[in-house]
Amino acid sequence: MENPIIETNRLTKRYRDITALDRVDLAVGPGRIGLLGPNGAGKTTLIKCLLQLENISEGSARLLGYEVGQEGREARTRVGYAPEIDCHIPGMAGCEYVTYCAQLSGLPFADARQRAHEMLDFVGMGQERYRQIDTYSTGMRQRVKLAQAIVHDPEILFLDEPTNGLDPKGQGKMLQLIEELGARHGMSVIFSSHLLHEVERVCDQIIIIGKGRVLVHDSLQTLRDQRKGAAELALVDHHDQVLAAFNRQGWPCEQLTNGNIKVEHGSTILNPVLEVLGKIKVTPIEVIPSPNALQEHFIQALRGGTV
Amino acid sequence: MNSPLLDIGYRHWNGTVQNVWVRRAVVARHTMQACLRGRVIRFLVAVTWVLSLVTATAYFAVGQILVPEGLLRPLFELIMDDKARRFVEGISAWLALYPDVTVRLVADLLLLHLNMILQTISFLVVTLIIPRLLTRDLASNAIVVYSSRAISRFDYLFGKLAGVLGVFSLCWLGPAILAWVLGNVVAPDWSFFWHSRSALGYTLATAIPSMVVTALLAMAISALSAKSRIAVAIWLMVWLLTPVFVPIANMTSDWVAYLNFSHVLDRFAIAIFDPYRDFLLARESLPFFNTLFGRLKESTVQSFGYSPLAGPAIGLLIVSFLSLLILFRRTRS
Repeated sequence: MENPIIETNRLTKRYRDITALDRVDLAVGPGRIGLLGPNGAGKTTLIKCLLQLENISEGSARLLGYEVGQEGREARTRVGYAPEIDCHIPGMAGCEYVTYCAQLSGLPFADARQRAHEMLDFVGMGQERYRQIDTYSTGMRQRVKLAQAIVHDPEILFLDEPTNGLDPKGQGKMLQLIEELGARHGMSVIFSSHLLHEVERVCDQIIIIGKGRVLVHDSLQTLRDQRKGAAELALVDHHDQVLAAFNRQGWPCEQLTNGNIKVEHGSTILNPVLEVLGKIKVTPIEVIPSPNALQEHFIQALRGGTV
Repeated sequence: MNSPLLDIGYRHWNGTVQNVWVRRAVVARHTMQACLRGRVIRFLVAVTWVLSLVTATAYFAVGQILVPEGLLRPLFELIMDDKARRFVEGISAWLALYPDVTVRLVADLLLLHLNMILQTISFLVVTLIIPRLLTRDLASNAIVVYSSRAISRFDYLFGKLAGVLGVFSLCWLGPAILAWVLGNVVAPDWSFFWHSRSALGYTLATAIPSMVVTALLAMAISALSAKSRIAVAIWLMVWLLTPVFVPIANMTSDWVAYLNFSHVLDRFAIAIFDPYRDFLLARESLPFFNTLFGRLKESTVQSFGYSPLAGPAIGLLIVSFLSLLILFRRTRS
C-alpha cells in the first residue's frame, strides 16, 4: 500500500500475563476506518499503542510515517484523540479547555482561541461553552471531547467510542459530524466502536479485532458483498413440505429450534428460494437473508472465535 | 442539542506549529494560574512580600544606626543606655574599619533568617496547591489529554515543575531578592550593594535548589493519589511529623535527622550561608566582638551556625531522585 497512515509489524502489547494485542500486522490507508470488536478486544489498546500512551511490548508501529516510540511527539502533532473515558481539566470552562488543548498542540494563543470557538460551534455547543466542564451533561462532554480532538486540524482523528452515553438524537448528530470530517474535509478517522450499525454508517474501511488479533481488514463494500448464500425462513406451517422441496434441489437444510428453516441455497440473491416456494405454493412469513461477511465476522468476534 | 453561536462549519488551519518550549510554557502558565487561584494563597504571597519589606526596613535601620551620620543614629542615642551605645559605637568603628565584613555579616544573617521564614510560608502554600498540581489531573484523566498531544511526559512534568517554581518565585525567591535590592537601595552607601553581594549569592544558591527539590517533592506527593485529601495528608505528614526524627537523631545517629525534609533544607541553608564562618571572621577582625562572644563555647556556636554541606546535599539529591521516580511512574496514561 502506498503512503499508509498506520503501519504495524507484529505489534504486541502485554500486561503481565494478559496479551492485549497479539502480533498485529496492519497497513491502513487514509479514509474512515472502523475499528470494530467487542469490549476488551484490544481496540483501545491498539489506539493507545499508536499514540504512545502505552509502551509497545514487541513489534513496531508507524503513524503517518513516524516511528512510534521514537518520533511520537512529531506524529502526535498531526493526530487528534477523543478517548473513551471522560477526561477534562478541572476548573476550566469548555472554551477555555479547548483553547488550552489547541495551545498544547502548538497553536499560538490568538489562533487557538479562534479555532476553539469555531470547533465548539461546529460540534453544536452554544452558550454553555462558558460554563465549567464539571457541570456538563454526558452529551456536552462528548461534544467538547470531539472539539478538543479536532481543534488543531489533525490529519488523523482517533475516536474511541464517541457515542457512548448519547441519546439517539445525539448519536445521530455525532455520527453526522464524524462522517462530515472524513468525507468533506479529508480527515482520516479511526472510529472505534462495538456497535456495528454505527461503523457501517460512517466508515469505508473495517478492521475487526477480537482477542487482541486483527480478524478482518477490508473495505466495507467488499465485506458487504460477501454473502454465504443461505437464508432462514419463518413459516406458519408446511415445514415438512418445504424441507422436502429444498432437499429435492440438493440444498442442505434443517429446521431450527425456533421453528424456522435454514437453507443453504448457494446464491447471493434470494430468488431461487422464492421460486421453489412459489412452485409448492407456500408463502413464508419472513425470509431472512444470511448475514453478510461483515456481520458474520463481527458475530464471530463477539463469540470470541477466529474467522 | 443547543444552537451554536456562529457555525461556519469546519475550516482547516494553516498556521505554523509553535516549538515545544512554547508548549511547555503553556503548561507552566496554566499550572501557575491554577495554583494562584484562591484568596488564601494570594494572602500568603502578600505576606511574603510584606516580610520582604520588613527585612529591607531592618537592613535600612541597621545601616542608619551604624553610620555616624545615619538618620536613626540620633534617635538611637537618645533612647539607648550607655552599654548599648558603646556596643553600637564599637560596631560603627568596626564598620569604618571593615565595612565589607560588617555589611556582609548583617546582610547574611538577615537574609538567612528571611529565607527560613519564606521556606515555612512556601510549605504552607504547598499544602494549599498540592491537589492542583497532579492530583486533579489524575482524578479527571487529564493526563490523557496531555499525553495524546504533541508533548511528552517529560514536557508535561517540566511544565508543571516550571509552574510550581513560578509560584515559589513569588513567595520565596522573589521576596528574598527584593529584600536584598530594596535594603541596599535605602542603605547609607552604594558600597553596601558590593559588600552584601555574598548574601545575594547565598540566597540564590540556597533558595533555587531548595525550591526545585521542594517543587519535585510536592509534585511527587501530588501524584501519589487521585484524592486531594490524601495528597494533602501525605504532605502534612512529611512536613509536620518527620521532625520527630531530629530528637531521635540525638539519641542514635545524626543521619536520622535527615529523614526530616525541613531539617534537610534548614541545614542546607546554614551550610550555604555558613554564619559560623561570618562569626569567625568577625571575631578575628574585631577585638570588641571577641570580647563579647569569646566566652561562648566553640561547640555552641558551631551547633547554631555550622552545618557540613554533604549531608543536606545528599539528602536533597535522594529526595529529588525518589520524587522523579514517583513522578515518572505515576504519570503514565
